[in-house]
Amino acid sequence: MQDTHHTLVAENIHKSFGSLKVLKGISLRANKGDVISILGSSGSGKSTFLRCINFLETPDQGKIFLDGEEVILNTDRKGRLLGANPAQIQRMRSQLGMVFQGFNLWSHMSVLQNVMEAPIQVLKVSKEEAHERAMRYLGKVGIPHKADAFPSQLSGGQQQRVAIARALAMEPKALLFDEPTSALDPELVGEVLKVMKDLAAEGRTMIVVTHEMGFAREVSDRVVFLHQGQVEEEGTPEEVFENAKSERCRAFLASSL
Amino acid sequence: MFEYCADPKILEGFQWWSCYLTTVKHMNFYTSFLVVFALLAATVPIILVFGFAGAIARRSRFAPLRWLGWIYTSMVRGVPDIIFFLFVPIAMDQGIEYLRHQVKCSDWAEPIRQGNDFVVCAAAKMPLSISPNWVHETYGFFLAALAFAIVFGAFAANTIHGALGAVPHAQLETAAAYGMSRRQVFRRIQLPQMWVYALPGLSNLWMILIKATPLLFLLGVEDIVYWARELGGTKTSRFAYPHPDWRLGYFLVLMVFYLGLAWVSEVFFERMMKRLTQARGMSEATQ
Repeated sequence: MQDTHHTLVAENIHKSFGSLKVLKGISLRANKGDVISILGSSGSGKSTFLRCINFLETPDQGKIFLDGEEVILNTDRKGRLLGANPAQIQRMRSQLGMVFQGFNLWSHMSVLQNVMEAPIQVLKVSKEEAHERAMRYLGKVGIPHKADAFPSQLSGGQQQRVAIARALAMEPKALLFDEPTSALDPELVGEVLKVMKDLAAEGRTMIVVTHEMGFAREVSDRVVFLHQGQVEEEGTPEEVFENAKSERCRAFLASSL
Repeated sequence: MFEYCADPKILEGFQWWSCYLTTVKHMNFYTSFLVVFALLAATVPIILVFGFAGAIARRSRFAPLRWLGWIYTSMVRGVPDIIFFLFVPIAMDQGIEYLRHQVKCSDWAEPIRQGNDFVVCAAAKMPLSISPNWVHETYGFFLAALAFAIVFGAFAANTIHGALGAVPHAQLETAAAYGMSRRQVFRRIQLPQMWVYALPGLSNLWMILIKATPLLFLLGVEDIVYWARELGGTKTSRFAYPHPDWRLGYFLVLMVFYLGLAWVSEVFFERMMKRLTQARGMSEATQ
């Protein structure tokens, strides 16, 4: 079935690691401009789900649509899914900017090179254009003056902001955040959240796996609570934070506040 | 060399030394130092090519290529170097001559193996026996260099293979997440980041390579060891410049030469490592 209304659709995603079933049929729909926060205790499968969306993990079952285009998957002899067309997966990934928990800035490149790299290599934009984009987005995250520094010379918060600029420079259709503040010292969390709030306010489509309840509540259009690989609770922040139907969800939120 | 050297018998002191140290044979001794550098210059690029080829083969998704890489690295590393240095040039030489023999002298009736002898027709000789001497020497040198490259290439392959695997997975995964192809991830991220892990092993290999250069002597190349022994040996009064056994002095010169080379290399690699780690702050980023 074709879904042309949503920017990003994940349908009935299953994933096991060996005998451990991590995802047991999770679906998610994001409209253009939606900010969706995914909550859950560790082991609930939230990061794995995010990684299935851009095929860093290949789901065992399920479908992914980006802007109405379905990612073509084949089944191999053992019944596992495989990306049928590497070029399609690469193109799709280039339209989903991913921000990792550990920042993962390329350590052998300067900040500027980090942000210019993928636009030049993947999107084939000119050097001038990539440079212009890089400086624009480094400006947006508030660290244009660090363009020539190497990642190791920056604080964690600065590194994560550069990582966000790197994702933005791809001008993606949606941004995927995988616990973007979990590796940061508490006093550095704020600067990254502020950047993310600004992006949400601009109307960017964002899927955010997070432990930041304040952010989820304030910024999200929708909140999804995962438990043991299934969607346990889903709704607007008000519905989930104030009127959760699930006992587990209420307990989780109570312990997190 | 100098005009006053015409009759060495009457020379003394400084003049004797200046004449002695500039004889034709001494000049050969000096130029043979260049042979060491030539060997290093000729083999290092081939070693790196073999090293990369071996490492990439071992990481290939194509199983036969993977086995080939594995066989190359483990087999060569398991055999004593000296045996390889003796085996490869002879095997290469006979192999080439055999092939040329098959092509050029197909009407040759006698067997190639005659008892202990390896006999091919004159046209198949490598190089041709009518070739000038320098061709023979260059050919011998070429075979020796190839033997060095095969042996050290296997070690380099192992080092590079390990270094490629040492690049943090997150760095590669991130590149893939941005839509880079496998080839782009390799070329843009894995390869540049590999050096910092490969450098200690490769610098070690370089030191061993330097120390292995006297094996050239074993292969019949007139290198510095050959000349030091030749010139240092006792010279009776039948020689123009008679002297007692001076081999100790000559070998001392070789030791100083090799120590100097090792020291310069040490400094060079230390600087390289500093550049790779400090400027790029790899130490922190690779935790």
